[in-house]
Amino acid sequence: MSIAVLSQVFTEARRLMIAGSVVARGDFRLKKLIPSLEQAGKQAPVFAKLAETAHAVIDGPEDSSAASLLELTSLVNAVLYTQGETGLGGKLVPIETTDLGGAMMQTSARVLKPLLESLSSTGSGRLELVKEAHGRGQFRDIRLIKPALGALDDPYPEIAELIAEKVLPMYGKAILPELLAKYDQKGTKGHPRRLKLMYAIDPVGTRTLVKAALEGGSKEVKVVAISCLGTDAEDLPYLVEQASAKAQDVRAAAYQALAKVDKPEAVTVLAKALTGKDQVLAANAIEQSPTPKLVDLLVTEIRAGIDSLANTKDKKQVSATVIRTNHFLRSLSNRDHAAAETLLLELFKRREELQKIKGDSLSGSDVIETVIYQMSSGSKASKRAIVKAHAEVPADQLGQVFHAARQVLTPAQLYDTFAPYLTAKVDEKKKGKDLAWAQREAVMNAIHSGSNYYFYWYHDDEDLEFDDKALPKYDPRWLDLAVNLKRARLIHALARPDHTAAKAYAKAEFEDALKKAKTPDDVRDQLALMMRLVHPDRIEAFFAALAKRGKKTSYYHYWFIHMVRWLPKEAIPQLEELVATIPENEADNWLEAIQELRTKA
Amino acid sequence: MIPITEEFVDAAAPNADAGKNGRGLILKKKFNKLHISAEGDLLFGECQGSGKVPYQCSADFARADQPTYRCTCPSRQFPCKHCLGLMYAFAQKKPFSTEDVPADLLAKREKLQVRVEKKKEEATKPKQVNVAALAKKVKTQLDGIDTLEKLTHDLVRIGIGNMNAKLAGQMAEQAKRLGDVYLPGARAALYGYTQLFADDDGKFDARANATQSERVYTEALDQLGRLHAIIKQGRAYLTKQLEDPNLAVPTDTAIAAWLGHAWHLTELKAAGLVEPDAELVQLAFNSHYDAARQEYIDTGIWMTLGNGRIRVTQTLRPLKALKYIKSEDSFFAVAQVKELCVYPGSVNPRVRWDGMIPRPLEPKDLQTIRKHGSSDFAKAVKEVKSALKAPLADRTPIFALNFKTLGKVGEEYVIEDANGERLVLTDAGMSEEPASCGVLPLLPKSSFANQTLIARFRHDLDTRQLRVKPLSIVTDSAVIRLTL
Repeated sequence: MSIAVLSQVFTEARRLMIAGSVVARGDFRLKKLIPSLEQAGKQAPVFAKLAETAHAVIDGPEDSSAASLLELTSLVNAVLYTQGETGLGGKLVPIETTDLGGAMMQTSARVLKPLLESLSSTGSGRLELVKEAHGRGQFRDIRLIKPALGALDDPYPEIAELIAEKVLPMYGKAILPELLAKYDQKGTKGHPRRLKLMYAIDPVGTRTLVKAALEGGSKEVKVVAISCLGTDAEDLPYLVEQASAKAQDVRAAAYQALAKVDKPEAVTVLAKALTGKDQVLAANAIEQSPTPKLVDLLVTEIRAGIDSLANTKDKKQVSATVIRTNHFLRSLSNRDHAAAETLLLELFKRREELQKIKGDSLSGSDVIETVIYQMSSGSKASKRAIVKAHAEVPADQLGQVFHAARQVLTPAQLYDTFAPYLTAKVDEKKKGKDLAWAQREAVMNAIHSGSNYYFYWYHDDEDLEFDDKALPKYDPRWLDLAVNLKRARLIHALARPDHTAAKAYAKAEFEDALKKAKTPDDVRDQLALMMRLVHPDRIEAFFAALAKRGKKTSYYHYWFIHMVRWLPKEAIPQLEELVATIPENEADNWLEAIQELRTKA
Repeated sequence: MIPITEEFVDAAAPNADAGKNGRGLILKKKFNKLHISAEGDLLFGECQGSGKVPYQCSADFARADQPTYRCTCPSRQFPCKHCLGLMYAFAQKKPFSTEDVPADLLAKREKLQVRVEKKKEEATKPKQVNVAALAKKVKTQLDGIDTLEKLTHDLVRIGIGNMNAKLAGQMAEQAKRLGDVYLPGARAALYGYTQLFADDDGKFDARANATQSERVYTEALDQLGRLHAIIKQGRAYLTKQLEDPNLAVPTDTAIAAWLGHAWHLTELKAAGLVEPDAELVQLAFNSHYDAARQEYIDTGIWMTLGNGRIRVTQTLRPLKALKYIKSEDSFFAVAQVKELCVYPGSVNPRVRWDGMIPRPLEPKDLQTIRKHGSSDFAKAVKEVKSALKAPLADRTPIFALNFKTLGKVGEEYVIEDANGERLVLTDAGMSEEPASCGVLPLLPKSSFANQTLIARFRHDLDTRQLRVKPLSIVTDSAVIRLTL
């Protein structure tokens, strides 16, 4: 079959269909093909038919030109449909696959559709849906990969970041071609994310792209590209050059990358930056750096700054030096570095001298504050030093000292050292102006911070305790003291279900409050304390408090629903009875809370 | 009674919200009474609604494959959340007491029984046709065909290149009239042409059309060819019908559907287009929104295990009636159908059924599917080409292909059979389903050798290439769905 003629007829028929059949009569280009068609028609009748139809188009009456042309195109199309090319020459190679690291899922359309829509549309409420789907492992359905890749450009950055950081990396190299196909180094928003992701998946393969982005990428892409540098020796000159770039973002990225390179050239650039306008950017970079030489740099700068304070008369200059020193001190966080520790101990010893230095906005006392803060989270020796001087530190930092003490003293020592602050004689009227009052509050607040007193306001906070589980438990005498002092919040923080006196106190407080209560809010904190102490009467108390709502329900009482998960499972039947009596719109929230309680381990 | 599982109730729900609300009723303890008949084929109960009087709801499994749901609530969703809640309660093993069937339900059951019997009887009787009225309708349709011909010829005279937004809009207005002359299918085909000149939302935008590219020309050409075929075949079909003394609808051609004839199951049964005791497995499912038609189209692609034929189910859900029409969903079990009605058509005709009983999909079912796949690509391609040359054929037929290797040649994905025949995989031109080639590298290695590919063929008129879009891969342990 003469495919070439067929193709030509199709092309001409197509041209005439585009131009309109009014111009088809006498068309010489189609006419030229008729002899070839007639020739071919001797062997295959379909060509003869085509020739006949083409004649009708060219020579037929004008009023039937449309019908003839349609007939011709239909016929040629029908023949061409039987001539479709299949197959492909060349070597068939296996597909490179990526193990998704776990079983694949096949989810039903009803579940997938809303998820697909949230990945490809705009509007509120999508982040939750995507987070939930990620949590349930639904992104293991391979059909979600393309939409997830598209979501890198989501106008809501939180969705795009979640997808880029949590979802897409699990597909590995399999998504590289798609990432590359969509990547535009001149682009913004999704494109820096693409480069970052490609680099995370395949650092070696992406190096060319990184280099190209450094040359001609948009500012955002360039910043990401710079952050990918540092692993190769040839990067160094470029990074040094970029540390003097005009754009601050570019300089910051260059410092970050240089901080990862343990080379004298890199140290020189950062040392210079610490004395110039980029001191904050450089210090931030050093904070993340594993290189000890850079910490030495910081230590030298801090010491020089402090030494200069003694001779500085200008108060503005003093404040500027304090700001700079504090920033550098904060960059020493989490450093196991001998010179840094020595510096902190030295500055702590010099606190009297520092106290005397006055600036216009910040003074020497602010340096002491930062030093104590850093020491409270520093080495054991640092912690011991500030604990030993607990009576001398400013009251507003006693809390930090207390936290440090919990890590270096035994529970009994901690009690013996700090309990006297709670029983000391204070002037309640003077409040903060009285040192003993301020010290007592500081210690109590430090203990309070270990528990979630307002747990009922939040739905997501699973734990009642924020206390570091690695820390030793409090000495039992603390709770006795709290009950004696009748400090409800302190009891809440130190609560133990086995403390009879605390339970009796909580119950009495609740009953007392209930008698006076006009709304449930009046017994909220008392009820919370009973929950915290796992009081055997807490179900009864819960429903007694609920009864204070009367017939009208209020949005402001949603804390009740949050408290449900702290009830025992025995409360479920009673809760279900309750749900049947409350309005439909509120019932759904209760149902969710009951379900949560039911499934609670 | 068939065992009711929560999955069964999920599938019966018209949409995800109805299912969720049904479950909520149990948790909210809205069911005052939960009963089951002594025979175990009727669940009934009382559910407290917003009014004083509780709703009486029931799920009747007297016909196991076609449960009857009844409720006194005013909801137009079917089954309503109360019936769904009742079934969820049963699936969750809530206590159901055995009670006598209430008199009103008994009466309704009897009525239903009578109706079913009557229907059966009617099905055996020759259908009474008002010949005069039907002849009038057919004549009107023939007049409509003349109008369609005039419009189509006008379009050809003007030329595809001279189409603009204004003209397309006017033509769409004209097309509306075809619905008034009982030719909704022809109207849709004309819409199909005008929509080529519209934007993604189905609106005619003059600015967009001013820059109309060559891209749509070939597609427009094909569409006009179809209109030409509808006119020719439609006229012949209607004339043939008019010549028949009973004006019976010819069942040997798919043109009736193109003209917009809505087949009744009784018609199909009467015409013998029925397969008894069929078992079907869903191979793929997609739901897409057609902006031009303003409706969702849920398409299921199924294989009948007995004969290996691939057929489709279609549920059209217009936006205006979205709430009242059950959305279809992926189906992972085997559907056991007593009477499978098959529409006239060639490669993948549409199918429908009245009732269905699900059973779990087993490895032997997957073996059967794989056995039905075509291991000779050349033969399958010949079959496809032969089907495609008919102007009104489905342009994207679906086949099951047993491949030896799935691999890559350059950047293209390719399947190869045992004889070394190859087919190239593509996503081009088939936008109803999401692109699927991109997910192939994420499949386990074992999916790339000696498996069955459920593939949609498409001939590209511009490139003259016949390629396939992968929909699913059937292995001996699963149907891996690649599209949605």
